[in-house]
Amino acid sequence: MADGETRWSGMDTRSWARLVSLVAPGMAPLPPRHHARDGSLPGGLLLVAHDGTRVLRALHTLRGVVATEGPWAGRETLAALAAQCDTRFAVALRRDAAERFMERVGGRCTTADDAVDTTLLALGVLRELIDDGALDVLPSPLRSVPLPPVEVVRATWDRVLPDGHSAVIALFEGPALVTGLALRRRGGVIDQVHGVESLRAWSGPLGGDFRRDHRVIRAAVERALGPVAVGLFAPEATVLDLLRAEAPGGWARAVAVRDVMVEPMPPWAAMATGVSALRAAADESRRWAFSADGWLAKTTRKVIDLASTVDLQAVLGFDPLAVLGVVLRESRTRPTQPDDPA
Amino acid sequence: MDAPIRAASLRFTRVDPSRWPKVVRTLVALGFNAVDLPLVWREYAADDGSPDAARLAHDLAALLRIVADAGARAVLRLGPWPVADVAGLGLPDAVLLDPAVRSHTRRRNPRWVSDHLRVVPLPSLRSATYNTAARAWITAAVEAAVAGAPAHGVIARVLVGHGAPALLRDAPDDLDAAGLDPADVDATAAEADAAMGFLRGLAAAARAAGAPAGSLRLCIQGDPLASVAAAQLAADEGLAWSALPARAGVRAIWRDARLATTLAHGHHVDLRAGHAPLEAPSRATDALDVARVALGAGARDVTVLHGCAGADWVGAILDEQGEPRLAAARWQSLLAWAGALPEGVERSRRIGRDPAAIARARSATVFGALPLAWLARWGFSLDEVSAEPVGADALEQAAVAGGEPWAPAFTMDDKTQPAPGVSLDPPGAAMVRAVDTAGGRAWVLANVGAAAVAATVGGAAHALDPGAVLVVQTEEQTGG
Repeated sequence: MADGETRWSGMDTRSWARLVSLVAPGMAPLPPRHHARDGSLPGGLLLVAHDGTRVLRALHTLRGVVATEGPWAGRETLAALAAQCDTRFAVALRRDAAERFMERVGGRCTTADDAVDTTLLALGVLRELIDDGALDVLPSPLRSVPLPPVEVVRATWDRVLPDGHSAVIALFEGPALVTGLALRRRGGVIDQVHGVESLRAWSGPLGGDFRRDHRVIRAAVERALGPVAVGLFAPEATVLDLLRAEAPGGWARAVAVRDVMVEPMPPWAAMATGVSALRAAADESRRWAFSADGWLAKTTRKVIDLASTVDLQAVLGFDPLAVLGVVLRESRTRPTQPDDPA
Repeated sequence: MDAPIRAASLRFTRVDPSRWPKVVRTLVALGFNAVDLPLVWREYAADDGSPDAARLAHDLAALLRIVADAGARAVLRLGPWPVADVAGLGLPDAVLLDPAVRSHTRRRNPRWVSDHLRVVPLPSLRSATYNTAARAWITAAVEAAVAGAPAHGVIARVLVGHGAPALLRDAPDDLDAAGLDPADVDATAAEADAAMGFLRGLAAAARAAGAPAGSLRLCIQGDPLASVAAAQLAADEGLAWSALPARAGVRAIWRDARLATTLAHGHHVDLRAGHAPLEAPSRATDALDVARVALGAGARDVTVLHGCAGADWVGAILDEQGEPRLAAARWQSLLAWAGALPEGVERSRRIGRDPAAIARARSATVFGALPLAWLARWGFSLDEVSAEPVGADALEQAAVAGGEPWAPAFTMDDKTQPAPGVSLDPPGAAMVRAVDTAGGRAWVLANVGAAAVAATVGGAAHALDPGAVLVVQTEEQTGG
């Protein structure tokens, strides 16, 4: 994981905002005038303070104060207030929740904790607060997603990005490389993270076809950072659609027909993209997928061949792409990114 | 009246020293008249945490010479936690990890704050060890700067205090030491006492070390309008704080920046170009919008973080080689626009609050005492998160009771009374500021809604697009 010594380099605001809002559309930046607190915008985050029996205040990040009183009946009240505000994301805090969080984190953290320790500890405390009724969150991924032990996360991390290796994402809009990321793991931590400015500088002029340009970019990253363990090269719009797609098998199909280039494709990535293919195979389309079209059969067989490698779903207890898809489908559509000189 | 400070910061330790002159010249060419130099204690510390005076003197002398040669002035940002994008809060490990320095919760647990993806213990403003060490750092830094300044007046500002916007608290402190409930009014007062003691101690150290008269600004974390310490310190010190982010909205950004026009001892407002890598993304367009609103509201002395950041920052005005990014030209245009903003006697309702009322309101925050500053970063005011809103401005009441000749009736700060000579359609859809200049009265209007506003100023009609800031000069001085 990244830490205080990680070097972040070559990032402009436009490409970075595009990359972040791809997986977190709610974080897509908006100009100040869009936060007019006039109640016209859907989305946003609702914060509700309560004392266990009464709503003390409900604040909406786009609409301001939306309630100052009312009965508190738990999750139903939170859901109702969220519906009134036309948002799916809401947090309810009992009045003592923040103090409890600080007490529990304060009692368990140490100065030796790294990012993995700290993240899992904070998530664990948040889950405790949810169980205590001091915190409620809509939607509630913390309830449905198990928290893996620290050792498992570390072991998985070692397999996903071995020490001394790098990873790269390069996303295109037409012929242009519009956003991307390259990172390297060294000494157990992510020591360098580079944005699209670095990718452009290392690669030089590109041809404009990501199916060919990926070789140039990969070679450039290997020269700059070291061997690439995994690379994703695709049109930005394709990735956006795949992340939101509900039907299983989308990633496997896209990889098979080269709508998305995963190069190199380590076993775990084949497994991760194949997971959705396997789900599709279990669906009614199984016969069609394996015989009529052929692409799914090919991909699935490849996945099965690699079954001895790390399986993110087995390790994490959930399919990360599927969970991300659920969250993204519940999120607002990513705002159109206007032409914004970075 | 001094020229306004329009500074861009240079995180010089992340930039190759051979590029310093070019970076400074480029920033000046873009229209900045000052360069903000954050000095990070951690980067100038010996093993025992004491300041490395020789390196400080060497780097500061070189930088101040470059700044002076470019015809600019310097803003020294000394911390000890100067900006958000520093590892370990900018403190040497010998200080950061000293148990005698730590802030605690009521149950004597260390209070932690995020440091990129890790957490580190938060220093207590009440800690004598921390205060002593921090004053030694300020003394060393100011002495090195004064000794290295090539000419009088090169050092325009000296900013002391924690400059990073607080994530969880306004004035982090060790409440347990006083045995107080954080929701207690006395706790807010105790917290303010600690913050004021810390900041005044740093200011005294800076003055004793030779900081130029009138240059000091004390950094307030969180929302200065919700800070008891800010309300009390403003009586005899200048303040510095960070403008709200774009997600706070035009109204909150304007309101926050309006404070600048009312501080008798000066102000300094931090704007942003870009953001730290792990913060919510922000585009150049949005950063420029925030800056336009803040400048329109009356902020004169500003720093844009960061003009050139080297690495570890997304979207500085200059890239890591010191070359202007595409947005640089837009900052240049904005500075030219800001140069034409009216200057004179502010005619509007004064911003300021009774410290006791702030303390009561803070103690009655319905989300608990901790997350107030975090909520302020979203643009929520103290009034919105408190069960006991501060209500009518105490200073305004005092001004009216004292027979002050100017009776403000502007559409400001959520007040909906129309200003004389100004009408808005729809009413209350814009913030209005008036300035009496040598050439007459000037009006600055900012649309705070999502729809266009029709404004009539002195009989002339104007259309105000959403988010737009409009400056109108009327011919005759009409009051004051």
